Amino acid sequence: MDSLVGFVGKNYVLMAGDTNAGRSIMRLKDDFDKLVPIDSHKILAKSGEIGDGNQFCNLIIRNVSLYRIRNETELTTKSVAHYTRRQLATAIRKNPYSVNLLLGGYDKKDQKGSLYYLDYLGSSKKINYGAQGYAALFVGSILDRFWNEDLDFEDGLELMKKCLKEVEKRLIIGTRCFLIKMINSDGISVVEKVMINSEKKNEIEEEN
Amino acid sequence: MSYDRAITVFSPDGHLIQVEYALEAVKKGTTAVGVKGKEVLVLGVEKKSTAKLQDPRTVRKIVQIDDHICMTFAGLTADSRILINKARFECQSYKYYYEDPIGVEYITRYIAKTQQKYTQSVGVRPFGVSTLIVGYDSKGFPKLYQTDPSGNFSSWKASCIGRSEKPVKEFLEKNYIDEMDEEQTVRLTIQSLVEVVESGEKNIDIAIMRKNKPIEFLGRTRIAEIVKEFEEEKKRKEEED
Repeated sequence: MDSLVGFVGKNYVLMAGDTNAGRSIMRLKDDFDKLVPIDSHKILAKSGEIGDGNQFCNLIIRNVSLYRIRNETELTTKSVAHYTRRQLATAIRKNPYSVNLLLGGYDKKDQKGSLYYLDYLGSSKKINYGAQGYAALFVGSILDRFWNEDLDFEDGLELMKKCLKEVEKRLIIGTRCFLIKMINSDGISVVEKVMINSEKKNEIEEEN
Repeated sequence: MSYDRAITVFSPDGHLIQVEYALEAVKKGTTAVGVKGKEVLVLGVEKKSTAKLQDPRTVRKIVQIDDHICMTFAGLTADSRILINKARFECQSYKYYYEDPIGVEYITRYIAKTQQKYTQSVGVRPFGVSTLIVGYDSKGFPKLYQTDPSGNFSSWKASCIGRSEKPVKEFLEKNYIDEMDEEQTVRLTIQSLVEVVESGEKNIDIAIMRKNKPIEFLGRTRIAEIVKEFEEEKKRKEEED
């Protein structure tokens, strides 16, 4: 039910997640932020079991903070991805966390953004663009077609909206509302909260 | 009776000799001062003189425990490392469970509790460390706490630990005024250390903790400036006399 999309652009990482939190047929919350900041320049986008997501993200955030206080320096995105994967991998055969994640981060040292795909089984892969949840079924082809590594911010935002529009169009469960965040050298910022309206509705209006 | 079961036992006149020996170890450590102003906290430490070939940057006595709490210590450096590590872990653990940042008194009590545990356990010795902990409480007031090897802790307006404890405390008692601003608090801290530190301002570290701001270490040049101003004032006073 969760839809998370992310990709790396030129000097930034753009991530979006739907803002629904539900249980079976009921929508419990329509302003649920699934893009959790781990530190000043990293976001963990969570999908799956809500309770597991909360607990797991809390665990990662606290351990990343502890590292920062102990060593007076921040971890790189790669290190956080590896650490997170390790936590998921050791948990899977003991007390699994049902969370699938997208980790996006900007490293000041390399002046580059990076994105990692992590799932509840303990797999991890560095990707340029990707998605979790049902969105993955629909946006993969769009991103394959239109993504390139030199996307500047405006083009990136347009591409993201294209992806989210497709999710809204094709997913039978109405997700409608998405939150888009960006990470760049200045840190994390909320770009937009978009309400996507399906094109079909416009067609019906025109006929009348 | 076998006296080797626990290391800390009562003496016939009701003292814990090991704890008092630990306090002696603290008195051998380099001086650390903490002063509370109206809206600022300043920590000052006497740095141990480093050998010629030693990298001075690796000897840091003022450490951050959490984003809003700092501490310094006097005594056995290696022992302090253990306490600092435990405190740092406890801060994150608290935030993990309660989502709120930890309170200054809470973490002080935790450190003091840890120190006390080691005075009443089998096969361990007390920590040879006294600590000064600074931070802002939930209401936004600056707080300075001190712990010692016995596990006692208390809140102070200004305090000193380490080898020059007596003369510096006397100096602070004479010159401390309530509700000082940042400039006055920094000057008082530097002045109290300069009196007792043999090697002068190069071996002093000053850290300023402001509300909701990261800790700031005062630069070498600024400390040197202030010390120079004291010396000139001193000269002037001597000339007048």
